[in-house]
Amino acid sequence: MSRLEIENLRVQFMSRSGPVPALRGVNLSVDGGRVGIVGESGSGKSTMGRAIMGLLPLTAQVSASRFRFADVDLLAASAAKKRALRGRRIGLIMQDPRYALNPVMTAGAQIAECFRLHHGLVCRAAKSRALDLLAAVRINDPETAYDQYPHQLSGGMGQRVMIAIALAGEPELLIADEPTSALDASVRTSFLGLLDQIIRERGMSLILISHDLNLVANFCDRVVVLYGGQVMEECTATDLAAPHHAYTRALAACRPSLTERLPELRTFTRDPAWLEAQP
Amino acid sequence: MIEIESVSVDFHTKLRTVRALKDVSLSVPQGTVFGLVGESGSGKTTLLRAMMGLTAVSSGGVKIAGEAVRQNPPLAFRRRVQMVMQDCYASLNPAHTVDQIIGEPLAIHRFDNPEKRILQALKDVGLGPEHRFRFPHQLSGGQRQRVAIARCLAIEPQVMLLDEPTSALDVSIQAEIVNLVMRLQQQKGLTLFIISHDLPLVTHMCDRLAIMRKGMVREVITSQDLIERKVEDDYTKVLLSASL
Ligand SMILES: Nc1ncnc2c1ncn2[C@@H]1O[C@H](COP(=O)(O)OP(=O)(O)OP(=O)(O)O)[C@@H](O)[C@H]1O
Ligand SMILES: Nc1ncnc2c1ncn2[C@@H]1O[C@H](COP(=O)(O)OP(=O)(O)OP(=O)(O)O)[C@@H](O)[C@H]1O
Ligand SMILES: [Mg+2]
Ligand SMILES: [Mg+2]
Repeated sequence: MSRLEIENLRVQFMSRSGPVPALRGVNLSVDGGRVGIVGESGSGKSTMGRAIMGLLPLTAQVSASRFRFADVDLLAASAAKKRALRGRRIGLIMQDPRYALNPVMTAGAQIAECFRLHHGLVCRAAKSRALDLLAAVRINDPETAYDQYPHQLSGGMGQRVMIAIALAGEPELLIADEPTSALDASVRTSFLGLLDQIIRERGMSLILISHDLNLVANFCDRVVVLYGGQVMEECTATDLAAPHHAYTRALAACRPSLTERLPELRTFTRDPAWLEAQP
Repeated sequence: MIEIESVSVDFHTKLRTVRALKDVSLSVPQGTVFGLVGESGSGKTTLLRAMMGLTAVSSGGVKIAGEAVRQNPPLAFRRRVQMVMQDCYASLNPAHTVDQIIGEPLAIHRFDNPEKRILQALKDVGLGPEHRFRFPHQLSGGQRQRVAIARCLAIEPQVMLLDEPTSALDVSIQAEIVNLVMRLQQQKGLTLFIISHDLPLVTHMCDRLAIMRKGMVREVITSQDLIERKVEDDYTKVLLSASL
């Protein structure tokens, strides 16, 4: 079993105005199953995903008392060893698809390349698998989208191409960073259905990063709530119905609703004490 | 007042022509909030870009406050009409700091007190002085989106065209920004045009909304209709049931 073990992970970024701490002692263990990560904008969710993928910029300083995936020590591993993990064993759906996609390669070529690299398929087979995948993520006209460059795709189409690239590697662990933020509700439902099917068929583990508490509560087994680079709360998805931490409760309260129209959306005050070291 | 009159847009690529908008007509009275929802890839962003003169229309036209929108609109137009793009990575110059990104349009439109305005705009979107001299790649996804919103708000436009403005924000920060924008809208009678996949959010913000699919407007309804589930179109029903 491919097990991800993270203990006391700390990441800070060097910048002109001094170090910016992004993760301040985070623990996470994933061994099969679906873990959701929710948290405020800037709380360190994407940093966590990028740290696991080995994709942090050079300005990042990373330390941990334990940081392993299966038999690989992610802190000590060579660049080549980490590259071998990426895409094939650990997949990442990045938050900004337009930024992550190669602007001078068509969408289809980028997906087909994954099938060639990771599964050794020849051109024609790779293309037909790529077209199947585009259809599976409900792109309306896969043939047209296959030949389009990223700037010719809509926001949600770009996101689905990014999803297809990550799925093409058939990873053991998939990190999906806000994978549905640009999808309409109907396409989002079918994407979640597809993800669910893949997880069941292949036993893939999932880390789902999202600011959508409802989505995470319905799709994941376990949920980690981040705030200011620290874990505020870790609970089972069912426990989210009665969360302990004030921040988690606030997240549930601020959602707009489709059944009543409030004069203003609910807000809440952040307590500076949340940022102090957790026990 | 925004008047969109039978706008069609074709994109010509190497192999084929994509008809992204088919004869779309909408009108948004001044001082109201209009929502645009619909299938991913249905042409929402294309319509917004046509409204800003960023995408050429094949036929039809757009008028904002009686003035026909052309490509490369004049400075006065850009002072009155501002947009927040869906793709904020592409809309923020990677070589500019947050300070320059918000400050540049302020300088172009000759605002006084740029320093104070930049700090206020950052504060409005929940960012602080510590973010002011960062580059876009040194921010989180939601922080970048907030910089794009701050730049728009700083110009104090009368018409705001917002393409998925809060898609990367958690609900707590979204609530603060939405409340601020809606207060401004009411105080100053702003006209807002909002694209979003978040049906509850659109319902909260908008008076009326249009549902799009495959380059066409399927129906225009009020938010109250949506709350009361008074929808006619089959696709709207699909979206509604997937959002519940
Ligand atoms: N290269 C960098 N240099 C300096 N600070 C950075 C850099 N990258 C990220 N940060 C900071 O680290 C913190 C965590 O960023 P991260 O992208 O992990 O947040 P996030 O939880 O994914 O937020 P969002 O929901 O907005 O995407 C943020 O405060 C951000 O400003
Ligand atoms: N520059 C372009 N060249 C060719 N086709 C394009 C171009 N820009 C957009 N398109 C196509 O036009 C259609 C509509 O795209 P648009 O970005 O308007 O969709 P959207 O409704 O905003 O979708 P989303 O919700 O996913 O952002 C898509 O099929 C897209 O591929
Ligand atoms: Mg992020
Ligand atoms: Mg769009």
